[in-house]
Order: sequence, then structure tokens, then C-alpha cells
Amino acid sequence: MSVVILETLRRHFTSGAYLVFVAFLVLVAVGSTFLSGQPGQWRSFVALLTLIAGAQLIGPEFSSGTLQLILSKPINRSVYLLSRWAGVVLAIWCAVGLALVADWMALVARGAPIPWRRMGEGAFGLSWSAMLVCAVLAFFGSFLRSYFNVGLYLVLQAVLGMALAAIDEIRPDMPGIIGASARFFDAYPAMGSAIAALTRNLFPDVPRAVAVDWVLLIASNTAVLLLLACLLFRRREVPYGAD
Amino acid sequence: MAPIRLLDARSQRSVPWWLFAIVILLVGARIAVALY
Repeated sequence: MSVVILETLRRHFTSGAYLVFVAFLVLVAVGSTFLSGQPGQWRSFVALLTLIAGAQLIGPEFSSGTLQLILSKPINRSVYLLSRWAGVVLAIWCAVGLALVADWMALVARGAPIPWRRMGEGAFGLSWSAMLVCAVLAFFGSFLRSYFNVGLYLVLQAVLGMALAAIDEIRPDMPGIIGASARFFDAYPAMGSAIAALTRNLFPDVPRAVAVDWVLLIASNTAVLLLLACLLFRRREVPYGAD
Repeated sequence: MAPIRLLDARSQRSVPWWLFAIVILLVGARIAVALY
């Protein structure tokens, strides 16, 4: 297990794209924090890093033929999937840690007071939610090939967001199919709340102050998705030498 | 005809028991926190 985690980390630490992104993150952290005195302005970039790093899980390996080679070795498929996920999450945590240190150094250089709690909670929330994002991408990657996992992730997020907004906006007296949809969602309010629940569980917001129920939401959904990914991946046909 | 499998044995496809344990533990904790 640890070999796969270490190899995943090595692949990130020797990847030019990862190093450039981390350097960019540190520069943004130092620059913006030193100039404005407000730490944590690099956080929105970590979401992008999480998507890029998490997209590498399983799907692209299937398409490039790497997976076929790896699974011909005596390694348990579930342990391989979990280790790959853990390696990617650790690589993201390293990037967050470095940006946090850069934030701290910029505040020290500026001579500003250091809001330990706010910085810690911000970085923790970001790191913790990266686990779920990577679990969703690993789950999609366990049955999709290439980068379709991140495609499905973005499409699903957009569709659910638009559906939620649309359900709020449409009225039964509107013409045509829009009014019919409004009457449908009025008649079956459980449909609307199911979409809201799915959005809340798959794409939760990162709160400013970390709460126990949010921490458990991320942890339990991550575990459930990884279990489902393992169960699907177990049955996946990985044809040797043919794609 | 069944495909020929060389090394990808059945034992390599088992899902570890501790993953089920972690899922039950975390989902249970989440339900407990939500209820109380």
C-alpha cells in the first residue's frame, strides 16, 4: 500500500506542472498576504489544483494502459485504488501546507498579527474537502476512462446547481413545459429536496468556521464513495493489451 | 470462452473488511451527531 502512496507522491513532486502550480500558490500567498495583510487569498486556486490532481485517478491510467500493467502484478485492486487516492490527497495537503507557511512568513515580514485560528480553520476546511473531491473523482474514474471523471464532475455540479436555481425560479402559471415542470416539482417536493440533498452531499461548500457535522459529512461521504468505487473497480474488466 | 487471466486472481479483487468498518463507523457517527 505504502509503495503506491509513495510512488503517487513521487510522481507529483517530480511533475513540472505540480511544482509550477505550487510555486504559483506560494507566490500568490506571499504577494497577496504581504500587500493586503489578508491571509488565505490563494485558497480558490487549491480547488483547481484538487480537480487537476484528482482527475489523474484511475481513468487516465486505464486509457494509457498503465492500469493493465499494474493490475498484472500481485496487488489488491481496492488497496491500489485507496492508495492512489491517499497519495493524491497527501500531495494536495503538501501544497496547502506550503501556501500556509508562505502566508505566515508574509504576515511575519509585514509585522501583522497572525490570525492563527482563522488561517488554521481555512486551511483545514480546504484540505478536508479535498478528500471528498478526490473521492468523487476516484469514484467516477473507477468506471469511466480517460478524463471523463472530471468532465462528469463538472457537468453534474453545473446541472445540479442550475436545477436548484431553476426550481426556485419557475412558477406553475408559466407557459408550456416550464409551467408543467413547476407543477411537477410542486406536486412532488421530495424531488426538489433530493436534488438539494445530492448537491449538499457531493459538492458541499467549505464553511468559514469548521463544524463537527461538516467534518463528519465530508469524512462519511468520502468513505462511502471510496467503498462504492472499490466495489465497482473490483468488477471492472481491464483487458490486457487492448483498449 | 472465458478470458484468460494470469495474475489478476480472485483474492486480488476482494474489498478489505476495514473499509466496510470505516464506512459504518463514520456514517453511524454522522447519524448520531445529526440526531443528538
